[in-house]
Amino acid sequence: MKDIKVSFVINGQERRMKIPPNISLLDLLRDHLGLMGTKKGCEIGECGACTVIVNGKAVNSCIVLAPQVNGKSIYTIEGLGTETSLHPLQRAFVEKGAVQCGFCTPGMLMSLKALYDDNPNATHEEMKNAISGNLCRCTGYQQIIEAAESVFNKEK
Amino acid sequence: MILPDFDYVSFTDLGETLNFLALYGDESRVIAGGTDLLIKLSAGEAKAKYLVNLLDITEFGQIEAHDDRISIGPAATHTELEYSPILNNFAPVLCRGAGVIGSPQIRNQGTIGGNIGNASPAADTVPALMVLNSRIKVISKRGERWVPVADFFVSPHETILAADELIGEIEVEKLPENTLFSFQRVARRRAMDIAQMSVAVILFMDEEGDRIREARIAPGSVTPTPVRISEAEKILEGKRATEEIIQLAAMEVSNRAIDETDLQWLPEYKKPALKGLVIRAINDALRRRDK
Repeated sequence: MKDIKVSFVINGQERRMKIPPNISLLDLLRDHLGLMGTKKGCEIGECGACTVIVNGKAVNSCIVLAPQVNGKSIYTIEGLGTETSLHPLQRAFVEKGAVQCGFCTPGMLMSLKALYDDNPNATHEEMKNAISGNLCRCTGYQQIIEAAESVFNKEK
Repeated sequence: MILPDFDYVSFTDLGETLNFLALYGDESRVIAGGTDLLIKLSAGEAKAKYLVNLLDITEFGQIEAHDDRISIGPAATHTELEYSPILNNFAPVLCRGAGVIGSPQIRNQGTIGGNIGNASPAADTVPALMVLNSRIKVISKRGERWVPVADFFVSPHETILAADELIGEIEVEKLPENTLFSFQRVARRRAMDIAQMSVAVILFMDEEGDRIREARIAPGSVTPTPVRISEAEKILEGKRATEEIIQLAAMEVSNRAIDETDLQWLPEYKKPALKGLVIRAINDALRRRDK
């Protein structure tokens, strides 16, 4: 098995590295880049806990083959905000009580961030659709949608 | 995720990809979105010495309109199909099929070529492709051949593709704008579920908008390989779409589709459910006439 040379942009920073060909993007992020914010849930693309943004689109990083991100731009939860300067979506999650156990939270935020960047005036239905691939086993969907509602449609 | 050992090969040039497959096709698996393949590799259900990337082949992502056909690159994602202005104008039934697959994340990653190539009887783009009289361009270093979509599938999860061949293009009929259509689906829930049954319908009305001139009906998830139910289509053709005629056609779809499968493993609810689904689809298509 030959290592693969890849270059990509992660949270705005360019990286070049050699990686094994047979790892997922999720394992690249967690095990090779030390970015533990992206969570490992089902590992079969069902739960959305591992959602990251690749070239503007939300994807399940557990079923993306890492070498395929060569030349692409990736955003993870670590790129969303900082402890002193939260992204509006993160602040809204805190304010609306949208975080319970917290395991689904990074994935939820990345799905909503992808929608927000695409259309900050999205409808209620579009917000629900955006997180339809993200499971919250605390079933706190209502608060998550309320948090999103408080951030979207600010320009109207 | 623990994946078996393999080497990764990626070309931007289609010719180089085909050359590689001509030499090593037997030991290779091609990968586009990988949403199904990675899970199969991890579960030990697929093996490969080489994984050959198709996502970087330039011409594989395009959706282009021609005079009476639309050409779709095999690496176009389900999201790209769902929101393509060309397809929404001239083949919207395919947008609806692509739009119900998995979740937004899966639709952003998965491709139409993968949906076809996996040959799952539950593939949501396939009933739409069936009613759009689609053809698939099969390519290899040896040349190319065009295959009607119905002839592409051999059995569940098996296609006619040889080891050195690829899906090079998918061509669908460009319909007149405002053609009546519907795609209906039954699953346990809306997101992240595999269709238990589905149906795609297209209706062409006569000039008065009164009688059905031509009908196309393709159920999904109920037959081992995709079919059109011509017997049911004939029941509708030349007729006014009365409740009675719709019932008759729907019953015929249900009977014929179920006959195609092995009744022993088919749950009892499927027959009435499929009939109901077809009635819903035909009525949904007809409702567009009144708009």
